[in-house]
Amino acid sequence: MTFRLSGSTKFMCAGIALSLGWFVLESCDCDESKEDQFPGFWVACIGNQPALMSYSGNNPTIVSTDASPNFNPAQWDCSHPNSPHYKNSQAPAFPIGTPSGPNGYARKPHATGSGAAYLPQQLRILPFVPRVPPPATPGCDSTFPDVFQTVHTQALVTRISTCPFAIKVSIPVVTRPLQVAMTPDGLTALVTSFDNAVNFIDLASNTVTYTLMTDPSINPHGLAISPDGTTAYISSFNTNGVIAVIDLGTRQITTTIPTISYAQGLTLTPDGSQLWVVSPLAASVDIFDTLTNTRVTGLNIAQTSDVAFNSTGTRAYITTSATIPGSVVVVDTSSYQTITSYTVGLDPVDIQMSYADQFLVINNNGEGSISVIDLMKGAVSTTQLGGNSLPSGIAFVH
Amino acid sequence: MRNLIRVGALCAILGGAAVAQPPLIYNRSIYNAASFMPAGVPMGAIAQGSIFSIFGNFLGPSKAVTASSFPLANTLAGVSINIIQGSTTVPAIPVYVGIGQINAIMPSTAPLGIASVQVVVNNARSNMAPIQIVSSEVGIFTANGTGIGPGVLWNFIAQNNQPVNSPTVTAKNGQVITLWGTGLGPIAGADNVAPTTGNLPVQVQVFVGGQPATVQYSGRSGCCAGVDQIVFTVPKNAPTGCWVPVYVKTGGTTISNFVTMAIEPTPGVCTTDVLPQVTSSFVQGKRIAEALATRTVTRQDVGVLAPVDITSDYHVDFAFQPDPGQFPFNPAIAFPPSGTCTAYAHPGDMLNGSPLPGMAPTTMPLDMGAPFLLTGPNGSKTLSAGFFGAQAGYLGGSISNNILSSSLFLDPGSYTLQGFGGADVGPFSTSFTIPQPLTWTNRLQTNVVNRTQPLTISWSGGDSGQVVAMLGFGDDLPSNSSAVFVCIAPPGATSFTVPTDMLSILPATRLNPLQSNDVIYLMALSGSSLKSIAAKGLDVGLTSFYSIIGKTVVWQ
Repeated sequence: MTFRLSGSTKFMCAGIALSLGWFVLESCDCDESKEDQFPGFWVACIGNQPALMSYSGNNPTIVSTDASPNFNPAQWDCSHPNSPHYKNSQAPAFPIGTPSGPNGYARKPHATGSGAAYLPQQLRILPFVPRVPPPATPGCDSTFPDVFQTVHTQALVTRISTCPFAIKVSIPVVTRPLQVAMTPDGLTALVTSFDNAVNFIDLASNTVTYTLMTDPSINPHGLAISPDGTTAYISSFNTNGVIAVIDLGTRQITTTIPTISYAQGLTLTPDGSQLWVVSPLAASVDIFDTLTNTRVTGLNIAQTSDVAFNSTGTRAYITTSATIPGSVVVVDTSSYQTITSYTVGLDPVDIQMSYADQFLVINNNGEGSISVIDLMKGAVSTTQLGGNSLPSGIAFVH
Repeated sequence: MRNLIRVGALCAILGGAAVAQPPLIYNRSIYNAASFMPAGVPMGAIAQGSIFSIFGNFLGPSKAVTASSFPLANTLAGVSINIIQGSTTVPAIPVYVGIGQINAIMPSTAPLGIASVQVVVNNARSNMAPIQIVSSEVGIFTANGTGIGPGVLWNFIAQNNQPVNSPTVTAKNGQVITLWGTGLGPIAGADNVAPTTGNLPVQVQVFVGGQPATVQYSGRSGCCAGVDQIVFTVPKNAPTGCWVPVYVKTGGTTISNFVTMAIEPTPGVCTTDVLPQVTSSFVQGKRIAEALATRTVTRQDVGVLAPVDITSDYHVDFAFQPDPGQFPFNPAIAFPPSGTCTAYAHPGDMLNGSPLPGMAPTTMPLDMGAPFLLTGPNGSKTLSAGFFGAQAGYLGGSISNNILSSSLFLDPGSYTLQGFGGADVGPFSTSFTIPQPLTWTNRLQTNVVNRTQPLTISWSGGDSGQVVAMLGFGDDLPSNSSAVFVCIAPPGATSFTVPTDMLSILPATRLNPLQSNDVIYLMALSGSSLKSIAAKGLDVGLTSFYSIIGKTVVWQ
């Protein structure tokens, strides 16, 4: 069984602290390389063929001339002297005098990221909100948040001060705790215990105030709490793959939803409308609509451990151990199509997105390393932690 | 009134390719069929009795089918749509079904509130997708089919002569206009038959350039199920221009998408009072070059530990020959007339890489040759070459609190811009002045903005001849929805009050401010920096400097 902390477990690895320096360097608009200035894509006509273009260093480069979720060559016309034209239509040309829409002429809203542009992305969107880097040397004081860690073998949850780094208190819970998450109001922490329990910890007193015992067929593992704080979802880590839905008002399970066996990680989209379910022992990822608790679709991605979303919920980043070394698969959350993947370390488990959606941090549990993906550059750097470190759990605390 | 669903004209082809895979509704892909407003903004709901669009895959036959006769059936080419709320299920009425898109009528009896949509294709059921159903939310059809830009507005000349309004087919004040839309609200009768005309009971207001118009009719079109017509008269005091904003308000509170219409005293090609040279070139498809320099000064004090001022200098130089088409519109150029406001909403994050439809050029840039040389008070800089024909880049910046020391370049003063010539644009040298920036006098007092109260923005100084614009962005990250209002101050004004209708289209700031990007920009456009670039191969060449002052806010 895997020891892991949920994304909201708020445990900071030393390597993450070092990454604060990268934020300062990379988000200040002071890097004058073209790659940073022009992160966008555009379409050009190469001969008579439309091509998706981007920068490679300082040079325009053909990314693809083939269809992909973000680029449909059929939508581009290279026959015009001022080509390409974006056809931007799923239907014949607009008939004069006939409103679009009801006659079948309603058109898809322009495809974001379709590259219908010649100007670099940053300049198309002026004015913009510049990204604010954190101070270069953040001070260490009592305002730093605490993090929580489950101690699986000792039936404990430890509350840890991050600055200075020290255990504040150890809280006994039901045996074999696995994941912990906070309610949005910051008043309560929920902890899953494999031995058929969900523990409710009052964060003011650091005590368990309620224990929800589940049916013996449920071995709670994954945990997610809705953004409005009304609902919690727990996964059952056994062959009886279910998700239990908990009403946080009554602290009772209201329903269970069948899902993949050995469901481990549960992640809600930023708007809370969908729940993504992953498992290191399953061949697919399940996606559920949280309004109806019904399955939306499945993704054929095997041996998955965790999901991170960008802030707008348009991209999902899923860690998978199905490849050696492991990978992070990028999925378009609108169409559920795989866009690309990044090679990281062996057995990647946790994944977290940094503020401003530039960096992904991944724990590679199988080799004791941390990978950082720079999404602006499309670059991956992997750092070995040394010793016997097998990282599990990520949180940004500053 | 023309038939939109041509009764009897088309056969209901029940064929098409067999659908093997289960239908899949894409995430966040259900919209009003006219406005395409995202669900995360206040205008993003679906009205009872309106036509809505569903996007996905395997939603219907590979060869699209359009409903052809009344009464419309609940199933079209094997495709049906269920609207589900708890134990209540009502069928929507498909009018167009294809593999990637469905257009359907939301029943007038559909339950209000949050509901789910499910598509059934030959007994195969799709996933459930959430929507918000309301009694009224008008979407105005647009000529380019994106929900923004020139609306489908017919200039009434005679019963048999009602051309679509456009920058080259203008209306005049006092003229009667027919607006096409969907979403006025439910009807008492059945939705699947040719609707009975007559005013619907909902209060309807139409605003043209901010002026209320007299509404003669607001109800279903006689021809078409789910399609509404609003007949109004262009107010006598409505401003003229190429892109005069038009919107509909129902029930006194609910705002439609904003479209545009062209108004001129005499028929013909429109003109504007905001950047007229750029407008005329764009509308007439002339070869235009613009060398644009910008300085953006943004105070970021929401969601940060301490306030910080960020200043960035950029330039962008481009030359192209636009293809205006019949309905030219680019939200970066198509400003509303002075003294008016418009608004846009969009599925995506407008402030971070998701431009509005129509904003990206659709024609190849002209080759301007080697990178330009810009010389000013802080020395010379070779403007970085972008790629064929376009030049753009970062010139310098600073961040307060000693986070980033200043490397600013575009300080006030005299500048010379040199171009060295390329295949399409000849060499040139031109001088222009960057003026002293204006001061946003109540900037620091603009923090938490109550969207139910008008917002006054005041400024002083600046440059004679400057055009002052105000942009208010509301980006709701979790729902991937954003909206913006754009207001243009009258010439010489030193303050402007943004109406509540503009503020009401913005999503509220989240409790966690990091989940919202909300900012107001006060922009001084052109003024004395606007100078001609005379170069071979160009019809119009212009230098321009935009001074942009920003402030993060909370939309309450």
